[in-house]
Amino acid sequence: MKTLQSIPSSLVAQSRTIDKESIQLYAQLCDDFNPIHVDEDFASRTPFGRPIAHGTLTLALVWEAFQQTFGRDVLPGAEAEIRFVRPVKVDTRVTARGTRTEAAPGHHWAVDVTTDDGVVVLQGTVTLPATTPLG
Amino acid sequence: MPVDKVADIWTYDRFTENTPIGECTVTPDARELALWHQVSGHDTAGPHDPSTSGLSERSGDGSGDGSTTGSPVGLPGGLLLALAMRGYLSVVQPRPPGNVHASSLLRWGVTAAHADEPLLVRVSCLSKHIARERRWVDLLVTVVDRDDALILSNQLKMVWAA
Repeated sequence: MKTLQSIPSSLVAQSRTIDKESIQLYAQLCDDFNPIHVDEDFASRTPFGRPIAHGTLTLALVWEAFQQTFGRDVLPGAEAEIRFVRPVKVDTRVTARGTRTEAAPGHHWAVDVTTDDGVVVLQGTVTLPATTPLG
Repeated sequence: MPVDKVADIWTYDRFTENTPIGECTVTPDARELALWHQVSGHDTAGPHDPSTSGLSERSGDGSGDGSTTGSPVGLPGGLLLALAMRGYLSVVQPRPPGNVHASSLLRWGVTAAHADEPLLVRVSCLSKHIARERRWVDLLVTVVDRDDALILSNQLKMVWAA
């Protein structure tokens, strides 16, 4: 077991532009072709004006941040509370970040995803099981 | 949409609290694993040095080899979540357009799921209420393996459109 000092205090931030192609790929994966995600004409008539990403597609960037930080999938046994705060319109560049909180050292993380303009689109917490070796 | 299908739409009124809705089977395969790698683009990097906390740019074009297939560590947790969403969408359909996924409470089991092994997705309605003229529906999506071991549960809080 790594000591607390050896566990990173933040996740390796991950950025990507959520483009039409990634939304289409995720739609195929989930079999979710809701026109708000994949139909530009339909989306243009909604308050969003443009197609928006599936919430769990945006969330995938958070999992990627854990993957890149710890070098593997740390989700087995984990819990997460996630709020999809704002829609992510197609071609928006977003960044996922995470910070280890002091309340439960090493295993409790506050995470968020923001746009380049600093708008928070996703927020939540991720708790890894105490048995998860980190670092 | 045919009239009988309109009648079948899962409107807010149709949900009953604490009641199972249905179940289906999803079988993750190599195609879905490849899609996941394309979406996440995380198969190209090895373990990262945690001592550095720099920003990493993802191209999203995932060109990896899909080497997770058959791995003893099991399928990625993010892929399992995507499959849980697929199961929910398969069971609760047709839906009115415009539903909003507001939040999720996620719990992964410790049992690994593997490609080509069927998973059972169960969907139930936990609760519903109307607040500030919004129709809130809480759904529980549970994914288990053939031995009924928990793979993932996803408690979705939805704002239902109609």
